[in-house]
Amino acid sequence: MGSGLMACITVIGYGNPLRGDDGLGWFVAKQLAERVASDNIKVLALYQLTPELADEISRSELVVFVDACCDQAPGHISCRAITPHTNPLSATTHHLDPSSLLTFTQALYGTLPEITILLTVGGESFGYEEDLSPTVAAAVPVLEQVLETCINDGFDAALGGVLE
Amino acid sequence: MAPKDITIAPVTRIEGHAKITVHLGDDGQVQDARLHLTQFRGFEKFCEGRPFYELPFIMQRICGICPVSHAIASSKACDGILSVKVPSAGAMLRKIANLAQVIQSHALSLFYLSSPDLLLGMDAKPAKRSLFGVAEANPRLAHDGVYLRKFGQQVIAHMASTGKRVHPGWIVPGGVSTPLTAKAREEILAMLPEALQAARRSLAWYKQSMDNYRDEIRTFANFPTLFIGIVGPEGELEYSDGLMRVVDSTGKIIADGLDPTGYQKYISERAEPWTYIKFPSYRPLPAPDNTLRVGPLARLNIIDKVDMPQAAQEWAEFRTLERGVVLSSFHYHYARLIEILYCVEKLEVLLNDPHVLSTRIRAKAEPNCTEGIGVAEAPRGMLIHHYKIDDQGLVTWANLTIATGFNSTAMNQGVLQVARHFIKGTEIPEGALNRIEAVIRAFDPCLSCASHTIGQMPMQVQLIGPDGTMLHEIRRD
Repeated sequence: MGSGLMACITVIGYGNPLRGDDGLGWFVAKQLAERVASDNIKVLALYQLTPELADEISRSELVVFVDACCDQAPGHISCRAITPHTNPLSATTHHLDPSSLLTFTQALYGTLPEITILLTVGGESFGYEEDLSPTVAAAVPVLEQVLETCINDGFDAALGGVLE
Repeated sequence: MAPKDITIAPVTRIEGHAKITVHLGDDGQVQDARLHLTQFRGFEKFCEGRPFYELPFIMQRICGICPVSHAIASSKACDGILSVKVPSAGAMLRKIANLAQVIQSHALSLFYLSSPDLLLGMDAKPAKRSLFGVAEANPRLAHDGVYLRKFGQQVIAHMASTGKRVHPGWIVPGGVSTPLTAKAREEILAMLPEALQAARRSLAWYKQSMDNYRDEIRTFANFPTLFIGIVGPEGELEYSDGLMRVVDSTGKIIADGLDPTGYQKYISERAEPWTYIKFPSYRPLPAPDNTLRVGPLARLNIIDKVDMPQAAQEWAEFRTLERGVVLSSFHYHYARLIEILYCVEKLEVLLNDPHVLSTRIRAKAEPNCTEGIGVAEAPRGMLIHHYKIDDQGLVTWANLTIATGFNSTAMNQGVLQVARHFIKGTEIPEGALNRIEAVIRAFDPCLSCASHTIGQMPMQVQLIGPDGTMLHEIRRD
C-alpha cells in the first residue's frame, strides 16, 4: 500500500460467497486483507452487515463498503459517498444497509467517519455457485485499484483517477 | 359475516420462519391459536451416510446464532462414540465458548428483538419498534446491547484458531482443536469490565421497567408447566456438563440426577401435521401435565444456587417474584439478563484458571461405540444430539431434540392465552398483534434450529372461524 492517508480506515466487503457474484465484496476483502499490513487499516470480510459494526465505524475516519448489486449493468463499477438515511430501514438480524448502519452509528456513538464510500459492482449471476461470473471477475482488478486509490489518496482521487 | 380466522404471517423479530393462526368461535371469542413452523430443513436425514466426525461441523450450520451449542452437543455425542474423556482444559475451553455464545445470543434476543417492545411499548408505532427506535430513545441501552453481542462474538472468535465468530469449527470430537493462547486470554480479560458494567446497567433498566408490563407479565404464557434442564453437581447453574433435573410448577424437584444419555426414558416426542416443530414432553406423566419449558427461565427455576456472586444476588431477587418458581414467560427476559451477568462473571473465573492455557485439549481414539448422545444447554435451553453409526463410522441415524422444540407446547398455549386476553372481536388492534408476537419472542425461539427452517422470520396471523373460513389475515414480509 502507498503512504498517503494515515487515518483509521475500515474496509467492509460483504456478501455470500456461496451465491455467485453476491460474494464479490467478501472475495475482494479477503484478497485485500492479504495485501494490507497496517495498524491503521482494518479489512473485514463479512456475510452481512450487522449493528455491531457501528462500533468499528464510529472509530474510523474512512469507511469503504464493497458490495455486489443487481441494479447496475453486470461488471459496471460505481463509487459514491454515502450519508446516513433520514428514515432508516429497521435493523434486523438479517437486513441492514450501509446508510442505515451510518444512522445507527450516529445515534449510538454521536460520531461518523469523515467520509464513507460505497463501492458496488453490478452482478450477473446470483445462483448457488462459489465462483464469480466472468464479467464480474474481470471487473475485480479495476475495483481493487479503485479501492486502493480510495484508501491511499482519498475518494476524490478515486473518482478522478481510475474511474475517469 | 364476522371473520373467523386471524393469520399473522410472518412473525417478526424472531429467528426463523413462522406464522400464527387464531381461531374464533361462533361467539367471536378466541377458541384456539397455533404457532406454525412453515419450513423444513432435514439435517438428521442428509447427515446419514456421512462420517460421524464431520457432524460437529455440519450440525453447527443448523444455526447462525447458537452454532457453538450445536457443536458442543454434537461433539459430546461423538465423544460418546469414541468413548473418551475430554481433557479438563478442552472441556473448560468448550465451556468458555458456550458461555460467550449465551451472552451474544441473549443480547441479540433481548436488545435487538425484544427491547423495542420493552422500551418503547407494545403499542408503539411499528415503524419505531426496532433497534433504531431503541437507539433514539435510549442510546445507552442500545450501546450496551451492541457491546454485549459483540463481546460474546469476539470471545468466540478469540477462542477459535479460525478466528470465526459464527461457525468457529474448533470444537471437535474429543475436545477442541487448538489451545487458548495467552494473548487471546488477555484480550478477552481486558473486555470483561465493560461487559460486566453493560450487564449490570441493563439489568437495572429491566427491573425498573417491569411495572409497565403488569398485564403482559400476567398473561404471557403464565401457567403451570414442568421445567427441565441440566444442573451442576451441587445443583448450580451449568451450561455444558451436568445431570438433568425436572421441577414442577410448585418448585418441587420431581426427577433429579438423570443421566442425559438416557434422555429417551424421560422425554417423548410427537409431531403434529400443521407444523414442522416437534413436541417433546416429560414421558412419565400424561398430557397436559407433561408440558415442559426450557431455557433461561427454566434454568433459573430448577437450580439450587448460582456460584457467581453478583448473579447469585440477582437470582435470589428474581426468585422472590413468585412463590416457588417463576411461571410467567415474560420473565424469560429477566432471566436472560441474569444469565448474561453470570456468564461474564464465570468467564473471568475460567479464564483465570491456571489450566486454561494447557495444551492437553483433545483426546483421540477410534470409534469404540456405535451410538453417542450429547447434551448441552443452548441459550434457549437443553439441546440433545443423538447419533448411531455403522462399523465404518458412517452415520446411520440421527435425532436432534432442540430447545425451542421443548418449548413448543408452552409457546402454543402462550399464544392462546395472549390471544384470548387481547383479542376482543374480529378487528385486531396493532398492539394486540404485537403482543401475540411478543409472547413468542419472550421464549426467543430459534425456528431455524427447531424446525430446521432457513432465512429470516416472516410472520402471518390468520383469524379462522368455526367453519374453517379465514376471516382476517395480516402478513409481514
